[in-house]
Amino acid sequence: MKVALAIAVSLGLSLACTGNEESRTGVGEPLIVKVLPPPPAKSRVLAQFIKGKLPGSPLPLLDAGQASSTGGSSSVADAGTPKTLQANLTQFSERYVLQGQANVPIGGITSKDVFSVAVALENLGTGYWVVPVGPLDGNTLLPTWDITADFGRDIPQGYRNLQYVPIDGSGNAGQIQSQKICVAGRVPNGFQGCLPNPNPPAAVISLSWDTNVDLDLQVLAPDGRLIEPKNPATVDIDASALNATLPADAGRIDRDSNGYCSIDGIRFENLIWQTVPPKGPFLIYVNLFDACKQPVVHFNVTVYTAAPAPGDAGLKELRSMYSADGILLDFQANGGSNRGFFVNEIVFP
Amino acid sequence: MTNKTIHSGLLHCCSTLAAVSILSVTAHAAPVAPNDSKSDVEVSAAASDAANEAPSTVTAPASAPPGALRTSPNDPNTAAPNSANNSSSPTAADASASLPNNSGMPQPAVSASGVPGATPAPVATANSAPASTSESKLAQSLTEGYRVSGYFQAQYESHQDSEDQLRQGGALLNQNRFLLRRGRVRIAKDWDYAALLVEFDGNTVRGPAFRWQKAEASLVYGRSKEKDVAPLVQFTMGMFDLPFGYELVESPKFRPFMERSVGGRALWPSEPDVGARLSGQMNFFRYAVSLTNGEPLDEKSGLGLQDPNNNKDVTVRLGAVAKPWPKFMAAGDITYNAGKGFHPGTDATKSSTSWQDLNHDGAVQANELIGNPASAATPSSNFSRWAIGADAQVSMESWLGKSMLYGEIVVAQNMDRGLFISDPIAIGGQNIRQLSYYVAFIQEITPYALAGFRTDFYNPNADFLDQRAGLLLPTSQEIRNYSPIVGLVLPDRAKMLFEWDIQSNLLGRDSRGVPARYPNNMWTLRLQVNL
Repeated sequence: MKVALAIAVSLGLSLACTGNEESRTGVGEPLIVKVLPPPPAKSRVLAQFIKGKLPGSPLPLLDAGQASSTGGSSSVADAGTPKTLQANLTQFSERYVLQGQANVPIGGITSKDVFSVAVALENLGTGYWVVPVGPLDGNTLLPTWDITADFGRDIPQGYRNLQYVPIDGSGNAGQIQSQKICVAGRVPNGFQGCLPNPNPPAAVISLSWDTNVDLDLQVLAPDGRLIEPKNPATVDIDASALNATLPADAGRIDRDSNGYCSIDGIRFENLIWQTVPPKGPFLIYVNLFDACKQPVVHFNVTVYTAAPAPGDAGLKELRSMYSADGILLDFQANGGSNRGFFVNEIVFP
Repeated sequence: MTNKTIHSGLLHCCSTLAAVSILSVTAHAAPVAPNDSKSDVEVSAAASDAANEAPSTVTAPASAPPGALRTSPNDPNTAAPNSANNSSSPTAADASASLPNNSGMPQPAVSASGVPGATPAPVATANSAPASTSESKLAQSLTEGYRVSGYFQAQYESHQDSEDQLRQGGALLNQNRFLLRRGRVRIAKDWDYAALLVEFDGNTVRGPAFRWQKAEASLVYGRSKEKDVAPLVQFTMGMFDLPFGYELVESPKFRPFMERSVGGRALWPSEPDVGARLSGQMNFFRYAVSLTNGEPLDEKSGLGLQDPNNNKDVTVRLGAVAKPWPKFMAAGDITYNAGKGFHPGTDATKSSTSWQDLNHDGAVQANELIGNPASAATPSSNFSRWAIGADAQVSMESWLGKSMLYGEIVVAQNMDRGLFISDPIAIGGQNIRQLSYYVAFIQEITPYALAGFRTDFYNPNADFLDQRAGLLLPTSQEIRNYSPIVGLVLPDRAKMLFEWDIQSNLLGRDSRGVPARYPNNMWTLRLQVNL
């Protein structure tokens, strides 16, 4: 009986100690960091994710373009930190990234006593990434750090702070440095949430879905034209004309995501009008062109129109006027032989 | 992440005493008249049980480890009778039993021609017995002497590093689960100078799977009349467990620990390979020599059981087993393995264009288009690899039960095929040296319980370099496990085991970026029932 009790207690303790709550690989985090291991490795692997608050003391925030305003090469020596541990950004010149954007190169150099650089997105996620510093820079003979960052699809739009902090061989962290970046949505709204924009698109019909299938947005325009990724514009384009461009009032679908099962993982298609669409009913369909061996796909259709932004005269923003969710099964894939699943009829104001 | 590989390395193992039971079971099979279908069923059943419970009763092959700890109070090593002496039915099988037979085993049948080992064909004519009788005889003749055995291991396991996420590519990161670890069914048959064995394995380790685990065709000469002694010479071709060391040929059915040591699983992801083996035993001396493809089952290269190069791996195992006292056994082996690994070349490619969205605007600009010129194929090449190991086992029986202390050490070069894959060609020709060892102790506590402990160590690359403040410094990658185990036993029939694996490794990094322990402990609760 005592043995059985001991086993039961051990089991209970083990269950308590090996719970499934904590992220350890970091694959579910909004920011995923990859590094190139020492030779002979040739491909990047996940950096080490550590759960918890980013170490280090805060430093005044750099402005959005400050790093790049110094030519992307602000020196370690003039970083202005009271401690000797320093790191800077030399590779990151982006002012914005898209939700779900991957392989964004980030890196820089550090002072000689730095062992690693910790990276995180401020107030997002459950921990930070640790990147051992790499080979010495050929010019400065200082250690370099080099990562690529994947930004999650669920990061809220707007400005975010990419934070990084140098750590020495004793585990002492220096001061936290920040780079302000704009995270933009996959719906082209003119960096809404980051930049004041007087001219976002007038209307957008946006289709998004959850699994890697070839799903197509189909819109039957009032003039009877079927707009879809394989026929993406609301008007004919003169294919023989050099540098043919769409008229300003025409609408077009921005991409054929996962087209012919060439998986890009974006899973967004937007029909965009820069000016107000013509009057009349637009019939919205969603067509499963190819299930790409997936059993089911869940999708969302949202229709946006431009409206005056609150509190700021003259500025506009995209607002949702209609949204619907749906589901399609693999046997409904038709290879484009039929019109897709009817969603709704929309008349733009 | 590399830490995941460890557990994936836990996966497929196989029974290694198949060759043992193929020779041992008939000790229990009483000779029966071939025409007695009812008796035939009884023979099969008896043989089946014997195959399960007396794996090394009569003639263990030289490649099988001696003294594998059994928890049965009716340990066939000490209690199983040699049924050849018990047979009393004056049947046709007796004729075979009277044939020269060094093993002392009764043979199931002898053909009309008198050739030992041939199953007598049923005689059926138009005027003979009805079809049903004929079919019965046919079925009887086909099944006579065959032994069906097996065991099933179902378990729940919990991993400290599980996550409710998918790895890139879709592999599951959650490993807290129920699974059928092994469901093995074995069919075997012996003749005077030949033996046949096939074994299948079903499991749910990577989803439902059912596959060959063993397929051995053997010629046997010089069967011993003593139990636990392999024949003088046994030549086997087919798919068998590589005769290297102790762990690799220890059956999961009898191994108290859930899996082999981490080093063993890295060097040999699974036990079976395809080839030919010559093995035998003379008094206390035993030997085994094998030529195999060198690509064991479950190898990470995807070439498992195939052979990408002309070279065949050579394995030589020399050892001795001694029983100076009835309740004390000591054994040991030295094993050597050498072969050539394969570095695959690459295909030629066509010219292509790629786009790098430098400004991330989602639109193609001229300066973002990159031409990728066609590239030539690169040739494949071989590299040398070897391993040398030594193992030792000591067991004794006391009033408490059987105790067993055993261990093994392996030094190897370019042999890792399951965890940190060795490919010296890919790193400019620098050889990769490995060291692996383990020490284990198992104690029976009455016939109904057991307890034990094992510690194992693996260093996948003795010359590993890691970045530290911009410099490359020698760094250890060693992995060590501490594995206490307790279990309840229903003798000869079932076991309930609980093992806790506490792992010390350097697979993670601390905040300084210095290699540090990655939390990777696990525990397993397993129920095993023998067929």
